[in-house]
Amino acid sequence: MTARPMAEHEIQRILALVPWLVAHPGALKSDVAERFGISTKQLERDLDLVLMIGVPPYSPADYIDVDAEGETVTIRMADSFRRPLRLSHHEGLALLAAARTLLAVPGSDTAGPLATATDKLAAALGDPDISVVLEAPAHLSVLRDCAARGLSVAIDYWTQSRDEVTTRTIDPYVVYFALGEWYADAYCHRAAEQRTFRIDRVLAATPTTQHFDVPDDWAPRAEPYAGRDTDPLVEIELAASARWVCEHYPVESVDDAPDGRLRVTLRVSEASFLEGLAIRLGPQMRVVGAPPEGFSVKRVARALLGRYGATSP
Amino acid sequence: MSAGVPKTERVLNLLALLLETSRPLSRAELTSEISGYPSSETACRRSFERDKELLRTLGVPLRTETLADGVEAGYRVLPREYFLPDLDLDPDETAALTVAVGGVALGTAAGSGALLKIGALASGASVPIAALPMVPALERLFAAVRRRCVVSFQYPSGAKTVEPWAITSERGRWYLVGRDVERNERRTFRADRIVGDVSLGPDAAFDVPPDADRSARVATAPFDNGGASQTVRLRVAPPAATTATTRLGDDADVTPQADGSVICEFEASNIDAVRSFVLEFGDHAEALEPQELRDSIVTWLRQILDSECA
Repeated sequence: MTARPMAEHEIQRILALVPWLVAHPGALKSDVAERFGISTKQLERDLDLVLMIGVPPYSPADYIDVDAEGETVTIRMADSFRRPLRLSHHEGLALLAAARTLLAVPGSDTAGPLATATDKLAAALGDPDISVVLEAPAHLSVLRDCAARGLSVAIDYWTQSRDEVTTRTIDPYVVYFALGEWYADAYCHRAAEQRTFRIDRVLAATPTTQHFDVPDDWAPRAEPYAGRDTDPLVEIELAASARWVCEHYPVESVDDAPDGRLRVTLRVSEASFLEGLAIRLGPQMRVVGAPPEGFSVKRVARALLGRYGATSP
Repeated sequence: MSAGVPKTERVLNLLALLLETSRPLSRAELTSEISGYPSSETACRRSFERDKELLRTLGVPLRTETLADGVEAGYRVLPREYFLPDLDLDPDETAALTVAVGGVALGTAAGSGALLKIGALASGASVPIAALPMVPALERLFAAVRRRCVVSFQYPSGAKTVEPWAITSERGRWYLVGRDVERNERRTFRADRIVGDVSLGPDAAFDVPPDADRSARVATAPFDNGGASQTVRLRVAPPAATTATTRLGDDADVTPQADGSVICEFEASNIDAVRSFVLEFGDHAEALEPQELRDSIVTWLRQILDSECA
């Protein structure tokens, strides 16, 4: 059984390889190998296998004819595999999803080759109803434009966890969509380090005339906001109905507790973040053990009550 | 003798024969014709079952039909179901799809498999501009939407039977939109919440209503619990305004105020969900209407204070 993924991979490649070779007689082996991401040696092994494919009554004329002497390769008589395998549902969906996602990015060319290719692909797949919606926060286009042109940009940014608005200049290396939000992975001149910014929290964005280069050793972040190892760990208990918290915020661990409750640990840089969560969740959340310094749900609840002209009990 | 024939070769020959035949063939016919199957009956059956499964994994539409004797299963692959219809892509279009697969992180290798089939170059590594991870249930749901099959699956709130109208991705998540057969109403299901397998009924089992709303409306869907809706008005102050209005999307009317804040107006029946939304923005958001929402917030906050004091 361990050999199975290997066979699957190999068969998949050969089923894609044969029709391509039929359509491109005399192709250079090195080109073919590069196109299919394999070595020339592996290509030759694949071709040896292809030679063995035939149909009854298995007379010489019923086998695929491979001419692979020298630098080029030509395939004939591959009737059974002459045309490419139909896209599986999964592949069709993946291709459509990728194409529709790019088309949904604000500013994409909705009449260009990607759009026409997507239409053809959808038609071939039976026009399944699949759509992708990406919201566009106010300053997305400015940040995308600056990232594309390599221009530093001055932003007003709201840090929700500290409820603080700051002005800073950033070099947006890449702007991307993940976990339902748009982010900019950028060098922040104010913090003098690489930071991730949520575009819907950018309150103002003004391009500067200053150019930046993306450093050679820069690597995109794996996750938009992984907690920092130096932030203190806090343990909370959540009701089953508050399970969404684990999907929404990066948590360190989730364990089952009695009555369907969950024990969750997460890294908390600001007490105000945890206060906000406690106010939203009410009885669905409880801090286990020591809360972070300065943590007071009471103070926050009182302040909000004042907002509604109500007094605290 | 079976040891001498690589599995890949055996499976490729099996596929060639299944495509070539004009009538369904029994397992005995297939395994005696193709070299590479073990001679022992049990081992042969097992190998054949595994090969069948492998072909299905590869997306080969393997048909199982009952043979003339009315008992035995016969197998074949219809060429029209197997071959990719000619997409007639020009080089620019192929290149554009290649860029799309490289630019969108779907968390699956299916995209590159598809590229090979349409004759595109395997795309090199690039920084994705969007991450939209696929989830296991999607493949079956996709097939069901195409073929208009009724689907059944387990959802956290229980077993569901749904006429699937559309698959849509909003806020970075995949949703199934369709008619909940039992409740006879339009509903939205999160694809990643589906537990286990999705089973499909017969093809062409229903028609999508021509006026069907296919969007998941995830922005305000949580605010709708099927009850009577009321008009909600919120005031959101500047730092949180963009976040709140982006979140609400097109479903809310937004009116900017002179002081930089915005008034958001939308319909909602689930007051508890709106309360949670308002409280997320802390001091920057205030519920103006309806009074029931304001009361709900006050009661909620008092409960928190009570339990904190206890």
